[in-house]
Amino acid sequence: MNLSAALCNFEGAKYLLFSDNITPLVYYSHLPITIISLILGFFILFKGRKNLPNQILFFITFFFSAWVFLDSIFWASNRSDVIMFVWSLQILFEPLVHAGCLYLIYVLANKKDAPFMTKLIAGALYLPLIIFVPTAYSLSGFDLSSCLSVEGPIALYYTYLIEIIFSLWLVIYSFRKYRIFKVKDARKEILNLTLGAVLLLFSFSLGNIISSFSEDWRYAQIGLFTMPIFIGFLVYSIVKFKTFNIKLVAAQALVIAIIILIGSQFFFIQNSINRTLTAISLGLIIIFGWWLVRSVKVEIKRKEELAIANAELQKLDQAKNDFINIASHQLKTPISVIKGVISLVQDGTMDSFNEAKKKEFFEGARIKCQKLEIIVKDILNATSLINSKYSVMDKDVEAIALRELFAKIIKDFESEIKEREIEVRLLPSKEILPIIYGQRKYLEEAFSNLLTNAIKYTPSPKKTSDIRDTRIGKAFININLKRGGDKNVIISVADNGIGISKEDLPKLFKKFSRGQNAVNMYTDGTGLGLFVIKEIVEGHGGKVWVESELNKGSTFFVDLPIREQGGVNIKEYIIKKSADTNNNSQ
Amino acid sequence: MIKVLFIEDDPQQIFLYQEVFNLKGLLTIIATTGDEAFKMLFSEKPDIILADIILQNENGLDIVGKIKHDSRYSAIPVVVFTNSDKQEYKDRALSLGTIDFIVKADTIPQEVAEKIKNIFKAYQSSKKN
Repeated sequence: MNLSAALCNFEGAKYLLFSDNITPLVYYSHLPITIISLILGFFILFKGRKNLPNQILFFITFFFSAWVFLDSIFWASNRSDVIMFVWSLQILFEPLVHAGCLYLIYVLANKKDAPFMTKLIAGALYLPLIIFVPTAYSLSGFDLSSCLSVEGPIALYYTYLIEIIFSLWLVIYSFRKYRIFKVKDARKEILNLTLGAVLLLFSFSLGNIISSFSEDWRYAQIGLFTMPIFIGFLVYSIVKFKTFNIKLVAAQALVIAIIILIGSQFFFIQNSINRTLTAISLGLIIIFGWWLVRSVKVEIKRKEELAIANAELQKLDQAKNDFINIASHQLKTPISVIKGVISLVQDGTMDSFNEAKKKEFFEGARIKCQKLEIIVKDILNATSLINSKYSVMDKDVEAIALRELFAKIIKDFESEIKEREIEVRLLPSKEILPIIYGQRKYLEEAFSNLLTNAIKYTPSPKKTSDIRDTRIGKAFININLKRGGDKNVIISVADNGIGISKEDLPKLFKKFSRGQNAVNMYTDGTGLGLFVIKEIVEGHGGKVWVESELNKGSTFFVDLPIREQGGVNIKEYIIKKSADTNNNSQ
Repeated sequence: MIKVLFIEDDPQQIFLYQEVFNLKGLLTIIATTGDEAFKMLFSEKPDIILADIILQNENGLDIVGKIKHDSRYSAIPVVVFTNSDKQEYKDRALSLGTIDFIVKADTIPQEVAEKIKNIFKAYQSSKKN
């Protein structure tokens, strides 16, 4: 049997889409929009094939474009079977756009996929549509006089019902998320995204809904104009998800809208003068638009960079303030003892004490004076190292016997070592150590800092009341000096102290940093000791690093270049190495 | 004789203040840690507590907090004696109910001894009222 379709009372369409019976408005609204939406869809998919939000947005734009394309076929066709077919498909596709938007907002707000239950519910809502669309409940018949399908309850009510459900679901969900988010930026983001999605759906649906009920299908066209703008909105938000800036979006949206409007005029300008003028306008607007968007982008980027720099500065400022507090305490302590002892002498109170006690007072003042010297030297060295990158200079270099230097440093810290009952051992070398060349005062400072650090963070087990201290036995610090390779010496200072946690290791050698475990051991840290060591060692062409385990102990290693008999002149080597480092860091 | 519990761990400071306080008629006992402090509180029953903030392993204000929460010793007046004049510490000391905050570097041991005597006398008379 050959069923030929009933035909409407006008000429058939050429190439499915083109017919003289349609007002230009339809072409103006449909074709550019289909193309633009598809382009946006493929663009977003190209930008992130594997990302879920990108995939969802492609899904939305695909079904929207398909819908628009089918709609243009609908307009052009005079065949009832074609119209019935495309209309049915449109009924199926339209709610998918709404469901897609809901899914998209969920995924963007939560940064993860929706739970299976949610998908199941959404699917359950959609299911009746799939079941009933091929039946008479959807499109019950065809009106040849108006060339339109007759909509049944499924097409008329159910589709709009589920679209409203999806849209409301989206809005309520977004509103709840907005309330939960405390951070201003996250709130702004969800607000913008929802606004975009809602306006998209609203403009899409409103036209259709009004048209359905008033039976004047021209109203549907209005909605289509705004669609690409909102799709662009969502595309942008996904591509630039981190910095969703309304200014930029508005600028881009405006420019795109103007380009579309002017470009579309080509579809129905007949006059060649008009065409030329339109072409010129389009060209100008594209150039201007590109420039405008670029300036807005630059401005936004600058603002972001400024905000980041600002945050960094504030952190550094806080660290400096902490340092000043600590330094002031460190300086005041020895001062108060010295001041106290002197005042005892001056007001005669000292005479009330016997000789032994007098000696002890003066010894106390001497110890504190020495301590004060060290702290002041520490702070001054650190300050000069902070202000300019240190690199040892030719004129400051002299020969240094490492073993001797370390022996002296250990003696300087004798009282503290005794007080803490730590055993400090300068281990004997298996071979004769070569001579190091360097700036003595700074190397002494660096090595002193290494020892101070080890002493500070290695309390004697029986003295500590820290219940986390799991060490047993005696506290020790082992200093080992040995030849590294051909051209260097390796110094290691190993203690069985409180150790350093993994989180603290990377920031250890930065200015003002103090490991978390050190916070409780407050006595002497200025937070600059390790920074100073690093600057001095690297300024000599060497390296410093640490191996540590929490509550087991730490070992600090320093690698320094040496002098070889008849080999490389070490002064030149150091200067060259420093120059290389400077070049590399530029 | 007024008995002072001095919570401090720096040897030179311990010697300096303990000798001068004893000379000025304040019987001074020393605790270098929180645990020691509680031992001393139990065995010596001091009249007044002088506490440093910066100790090797602990914060003196934490110890003061524990003392103030212990009903056996919370009535004993506490004076904070430190070189750290951070506002944060001053505020916390106040909220813990300490009766004075003395900065070491601003004073000399003899003056501190007199001050402690005066603080204690004032505290005694305020309790009587």
